[in-house]
Formats: sequence, structure tokens, C-alpha cells
Amino acid sequence: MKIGPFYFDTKELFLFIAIILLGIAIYFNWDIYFFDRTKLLTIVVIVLIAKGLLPAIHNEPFFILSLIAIFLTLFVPIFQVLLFFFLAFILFKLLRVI
Amino acid sequence: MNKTRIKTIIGIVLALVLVLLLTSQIFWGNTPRFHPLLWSRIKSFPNKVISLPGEVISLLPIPFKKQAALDDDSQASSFFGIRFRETTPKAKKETVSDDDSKARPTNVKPKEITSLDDISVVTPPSYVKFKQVAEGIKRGTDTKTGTEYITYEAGTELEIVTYTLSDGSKVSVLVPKF
Repeated sequence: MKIGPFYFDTKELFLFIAIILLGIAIYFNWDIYFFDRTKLLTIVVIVLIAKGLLPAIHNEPFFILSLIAIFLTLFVPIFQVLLFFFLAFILFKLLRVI
Repeated sequence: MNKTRIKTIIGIVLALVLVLLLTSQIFWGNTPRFHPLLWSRIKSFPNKVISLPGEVISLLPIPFKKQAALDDDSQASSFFGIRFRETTPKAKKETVSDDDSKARPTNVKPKEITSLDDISVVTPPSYVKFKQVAEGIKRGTDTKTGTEYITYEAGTELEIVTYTLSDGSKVSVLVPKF
């Protein structure tokens, strides 16, 4: 889908929808079982930014990493999740995954 | 499973292990602030690596015995045929002559210093050699009597610091101001 000068694929549109839904959940104070809404919103925004910087050919490792990062928010503090996300990117680059 | 997927899993697992193990060592309480002990940890890391073999050896279960039990050679422990005896350096026995005991009375409690007037000023014998122990302060010992002399150069700033010992007595010492 082309919006102005930008082209969005379906995954990015789904990320946008996720951000809107999370924003509504935070605004109306809806509970999301087990997950912290603000943590999820932070992760999804960072995933969207990272997705925009990566070519589509690297979608598979990127989405595996994103899903693991989202589920890690259940177990470890958000700071460690963000560190894990960036460190995994560096390791992906070193291992020539991306 | 192709090569990229294997590398992806390796990258994710390695990142997770590194984060879980190192975050608490580097960062302060899950915040982006660095740990206050980080620099000292980095500085002591080479020493830790060097002392690692010694620590590993010290963990080996070598059955050392106390010196008292080792008076008899038959009680010395052995490890793979090598016999060990624990030895401790014997304390050097001091021989105190009559002259020395006069020069160094042992039962004199240090006097509490409240001002510089409490310090007795004497002229040391000419053969006493002085060595600098701090800026503006020299110390020398009379080898014949054992009396210690301390000289303060003019202009040296000193302060009186009082310590309370474990037996409750107070000791005042002169400490140079830095």
C-alpha cells in the first residue's frame, strides 16, 4: 500500500494496527492478560522502526526475534528485553544473518 | 534446517545468555546507568584471570593437616605419591637485654595530645639517620636505645587525630594534612 512517498507492506500495516489497538487499550484501561500494555507498545514501536530500516529479504529472522522479544517481556525487565533486541541485531550482523 | 535458521537461533540464544548474565554486572538496577563497580571490575579482570589457576589448585581436596599433628613424619599427607607437610614460619624470638628494657619501657600508655605543646621536643643524637616517611616528615631510630625520633619541617601542616581503641583508651596521633 502506498501512502504518499512511503510504501507499506502488510506486516507494517499489522504493526500499525497493533500500535493503534494498544493505544486504545491504554486509553480505555483495558487489561491484556499477563502482558504489560506500555511494555508491549514500546516493543511494537521499536519493532516497527527496525522493520522500516531492514530490507524485506530479512523478514524471517526479524520476526522470530520480535516474537521472542515480545514474549520475553513476560519474564524479564523491559530494559533487558531492549538490550536483547539490539544485541541480537548485532549478532545477526556478525553472523551474516542480515 | 538451512544455515540461516541455525545462525538465527545461535544469535538469539547467545544474545539472551549475554543479556541475562552480563546486564546485572554492567548496568545498575535494570536502568541505562552504568554499575558503580564496573570500572573496578574491568581493572581487576586481568588479575582475576591470572589468579584463576591458583584458585583452581586451592580447590583441590589436598588433605593438609595442622602443624601439631605433623610433628611425626608418618602423619604427613600424600597426594599422588607426593608427600606434603604444612609449615608455618616460626615467629622471630626477640632477645631483650637489660639495656633495651630500660630504653623501651613496655607499660607506658601513649599520652593524649591536645595541642602541639604536648609533644616533647628533643635533639636527636648525631648518628641517627632519618628517612622521609611523608612530605615534610622524617623518621629515624636510635639503634642503640631504640628511641624513635620524628622531625617535622617548618611549614608542614599537621592535624591531631584521636582514635578510640578497642579497650576504650584514646590515642592521638599527628597526621600531615594533604
